[in-house]
Amino acid sequence: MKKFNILSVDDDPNFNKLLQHKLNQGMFNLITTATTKDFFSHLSENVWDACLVDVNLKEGHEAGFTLVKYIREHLKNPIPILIISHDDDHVKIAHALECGATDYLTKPFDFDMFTTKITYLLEENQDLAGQLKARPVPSLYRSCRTSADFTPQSINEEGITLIGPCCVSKGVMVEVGGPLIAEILESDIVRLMVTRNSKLDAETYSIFLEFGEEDLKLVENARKWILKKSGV
Amino acid sequence: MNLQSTKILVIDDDPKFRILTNKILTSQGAVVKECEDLNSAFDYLKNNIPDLILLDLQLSNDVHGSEFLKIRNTVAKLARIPVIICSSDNRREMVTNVIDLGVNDYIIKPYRPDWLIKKIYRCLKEQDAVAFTFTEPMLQQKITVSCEADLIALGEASCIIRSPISFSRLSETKITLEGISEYMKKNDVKIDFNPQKICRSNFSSRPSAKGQYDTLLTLLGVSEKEAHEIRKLKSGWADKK
Repeated sequence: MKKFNILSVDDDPNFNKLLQHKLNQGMFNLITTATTKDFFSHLSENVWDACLVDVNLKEGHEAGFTLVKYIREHLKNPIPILIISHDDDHVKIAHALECGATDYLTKPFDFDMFTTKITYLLEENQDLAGQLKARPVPSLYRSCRTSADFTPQSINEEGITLIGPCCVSKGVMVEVGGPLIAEILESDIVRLMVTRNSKLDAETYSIFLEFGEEDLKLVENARKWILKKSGV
Repeated sequence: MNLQSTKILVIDDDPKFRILTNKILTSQGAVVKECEDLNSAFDYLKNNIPDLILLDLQLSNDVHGSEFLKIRNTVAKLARIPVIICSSDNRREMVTNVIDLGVNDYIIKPYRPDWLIKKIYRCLKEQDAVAFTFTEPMLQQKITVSCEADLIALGEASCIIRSPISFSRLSETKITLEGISEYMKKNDVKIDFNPQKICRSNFSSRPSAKGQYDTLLTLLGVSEKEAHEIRKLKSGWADKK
């Protein structure tokens, strides 16, 4: 059986012991480090399959984020990095991804889940491995909402054009929010329809959200804002 | 200055004034439509969208031009057309009244042709300016777009959603599992599970039905406790089958 080489950094000796105990058997070959210095010397001396990085290290609060950034930006190393943290705050998770982390685990974590995630990441197997496969949800309980962040591109009296990493189908009603929307349209969340979409490149799309004919207030607010910004 | 193919609607009950204005405007290349009352004006506007409207206030049969403005303001496609008032009524309160109704400019009859042209030109230029391309630092401000979706499958490490959003590889999304909260309420299951989760797509979405896409998402930040809860939910659903 192929063994995966995993390097971890965490300043908590008890957690390192636990990791050693749980992972250093079967499919993993784990080395734990307690300082960033130690971590980087191991990182450069051997070939690794994935890294586990604790958010808070001896070197400082949230030093784990800086470490991930360094691996991505300076070392240009694409190795899968899993962030470990006590905190399940969404802002922190989003920040970890921004820094270049591949996944985010909340302490204490479920080791079966961890194994599934690692094999999934490393074997690039689209069907999630093992017994932790996602199971069908009864149709009664399927309702959910999904959201994605876009960058504003342009606005006119008819609507607003956004750019992002995903495409929304035409004719779909969406809820749009954010500080800029609140500033322009004087409403925290507005319901708009996607009337145009186009692919800009392999992973970037533009969507056009139209202000409804019946909502004159939106059109008026947009117009006022645009005129103010254009200095007319 | 040139009004080449600019469509202008003139609403005035005085034929002499209409002819005069028509002459001035067509000499500049504009295309003019004349209407003597509100009925014929609204008939025309049903199928035509002019670039600008010149409106007289004192119309025949004691109809006031402000009536036109009040109706126009309730129809979005008409509310966007700029209006210039052409009236011999120069009382201050009249001017402020119609400005409150959203007119772009006011010109007192009789007027000099070059003034009228100038006002029309300025009005159209303002209209053209009603578009804005975002610049820094506004580009840093994220705009969140959310829509309804279906949670097709759920696991401890991942889930599959069906939605009208087609995600690229490695994009992030925040999902709210409303149906799971509903399940807990209905079956009186009290579990320690935050229905809001941040996820990442490790592969791009696959089209399922028309305008719908299936996306396999990795759940991020799931704690040990939550993993146990999801396991329980999963086995509960399997039993019912």
